[in-house]
Amino acid sequence: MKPYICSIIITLLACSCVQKTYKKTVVYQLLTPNDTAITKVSIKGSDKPLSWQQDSALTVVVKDSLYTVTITTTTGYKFTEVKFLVNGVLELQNQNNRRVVFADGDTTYYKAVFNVAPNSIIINKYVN
Amino acid sequence: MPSSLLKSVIKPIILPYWWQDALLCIPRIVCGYLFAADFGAAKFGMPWSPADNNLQLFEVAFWFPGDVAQYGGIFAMFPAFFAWMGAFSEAVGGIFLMLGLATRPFSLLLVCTMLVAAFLQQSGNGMWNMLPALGFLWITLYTMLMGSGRFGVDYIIAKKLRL
Repeated sequence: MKPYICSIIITLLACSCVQKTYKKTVVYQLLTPNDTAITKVSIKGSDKPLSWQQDSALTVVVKDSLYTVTITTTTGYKFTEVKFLVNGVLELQNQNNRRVVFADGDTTYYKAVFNVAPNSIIINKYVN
Repeated sequence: MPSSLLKSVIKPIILPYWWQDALLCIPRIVCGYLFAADFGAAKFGMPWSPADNNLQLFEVAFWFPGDVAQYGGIFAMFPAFFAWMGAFSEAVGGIFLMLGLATRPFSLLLVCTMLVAAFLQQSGNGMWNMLPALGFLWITLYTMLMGSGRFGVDYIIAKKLRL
């Protein structure tokens, strides 16, 4: 009888040791290059409802300049990963994904410039 | 535990020359390290799991039971249990494999986990994606049969207990 009780206890313990999840909302804002006629801006990412297979569209705030989307995901992690697309072209190719670390509250605001890595330094070069 | 059972579980098969055991312990230790430090720790709460993964000790990652449930059958009936066992076998089993302690039981757990990973999780993604799990399967298959060899804690225990 003892082994059966032990097995049941171990099973119950194992089932209860699943990481807790919570809902996190991220408001993404994307600045796009001004010299491009934009037909579609979208996002791919690692946590549902986003995926790396299918992109989700951003809505226009300022045409050909500023786009936004709000994504709510159920996760246990402290971060998610995304990349943006303009006219179907994926940004930051052969580079790491954008790592979005969630804020302590429910909602995180993430501002990005298309195809500019989050920690990259933009150097303005002046020629005399 | 009866001595004969303990002997068959713990006592390793020893090869004729020490260098043969030394050679075969390399893939066992590397495989154990990769399981414990990387593959297992990413989805099972260990002290060295990545902090951003937000895992408590011995907790399985939130997404893993959902993945396991998609395999269907018995996995869909007890997804949390199988997810926990799979992640445990990698993270904790990896340490035991590295040390060569209780090598055969943990190798058996890892063989089961790798069979599921190769033929249920990755089979739809082509042979290339099945290769990592298959590679680990070949290693844990021989450690399941042979035990730790000379270079493992099982060998020392077997010697002390005169098995």
